[in-house]
Amino acid sequence: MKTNQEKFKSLVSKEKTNTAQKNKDRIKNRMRLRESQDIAMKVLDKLDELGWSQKRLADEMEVSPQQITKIVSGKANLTLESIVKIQTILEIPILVSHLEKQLNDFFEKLIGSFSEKYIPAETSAPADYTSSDKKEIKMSYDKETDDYSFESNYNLGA
Amino acid sequence: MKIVDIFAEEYPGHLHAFMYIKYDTNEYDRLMELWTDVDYLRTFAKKNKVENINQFVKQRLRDAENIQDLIDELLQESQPLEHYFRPLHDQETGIKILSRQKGKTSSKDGLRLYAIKIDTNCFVITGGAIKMSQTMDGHEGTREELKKINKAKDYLKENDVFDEDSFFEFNLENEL
Repeated sequence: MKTNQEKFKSLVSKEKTNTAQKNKDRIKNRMRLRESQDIAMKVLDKLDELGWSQKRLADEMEVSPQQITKIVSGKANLTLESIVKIQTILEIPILVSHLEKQLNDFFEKLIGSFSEKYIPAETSAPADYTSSDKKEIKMSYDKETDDYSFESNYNLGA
Repeated sequence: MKIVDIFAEEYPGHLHAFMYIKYDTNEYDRLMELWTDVDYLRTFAKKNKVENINQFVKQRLRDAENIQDLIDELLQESQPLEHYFRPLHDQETGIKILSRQKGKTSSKDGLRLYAIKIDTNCFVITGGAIKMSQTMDGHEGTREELKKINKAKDYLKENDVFDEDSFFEFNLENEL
């Protein structure tokens, strides 16, 4: 008499699947997939924020809607070209270099506005560092006017 | 519908899955595709009014990874699949024929694979769902899966994979 398992085996199709291989591939490519998934989340967040459809993004990126479907599924193995396009069009940081550039721009802007506001124009001339006197710059903050002022005992310029 | 041996190349005869007519893939592959799809998970979260959508998506993505790892590990190390599958109803004890089972990697796992146990270390996956409620009746996804697992069981019974004398199951349809 056939056992339960034998009866079951006779029901199993001879058809082969690649499930095992796909499972192994997912494990092997995990780090890349996680990156793709993070990008997909950023893209979808931004599309919601902008009120854009995936079709609109496809048009802006000049790619097929199918490519966008793959990107937002978090399964795409993105090329550098696609990543740059996404971060430029959607203005979202993906590459570290993009983030570095944003940080540099931010600090340059910050320093620029600080210099304009607090360093006198004549400081463009070289400072006098030859004096042996102790050099001091005092910064004070006026709560009332919400402003900073500087006092110095050495020549900041000619 | 048909049944395929999904890890046949390396570990034949242990883990099977149903392949339903309306899909061109077996249930394990179909669900893994969905559970690793950011857009699908996000849409699901929105539809179900999840508060922190990205956190929900990330958690389900990690849950899917845990399933992939556990199944791979159990099969590779010749460990019984019973480490993953357990009876659908916690009250079920003893040996049951064609016992309905749920796959759960940990108490925090938010994904469920459903299967029928054919024999020791031999299962057939009937479907799966994202766990959104305490009981299977509490959400449309799990309600649908309950129907599927029962239909799958009927299919096996119709094909004589059933021993009536030793078959017994608690009549508790509701526990996840």
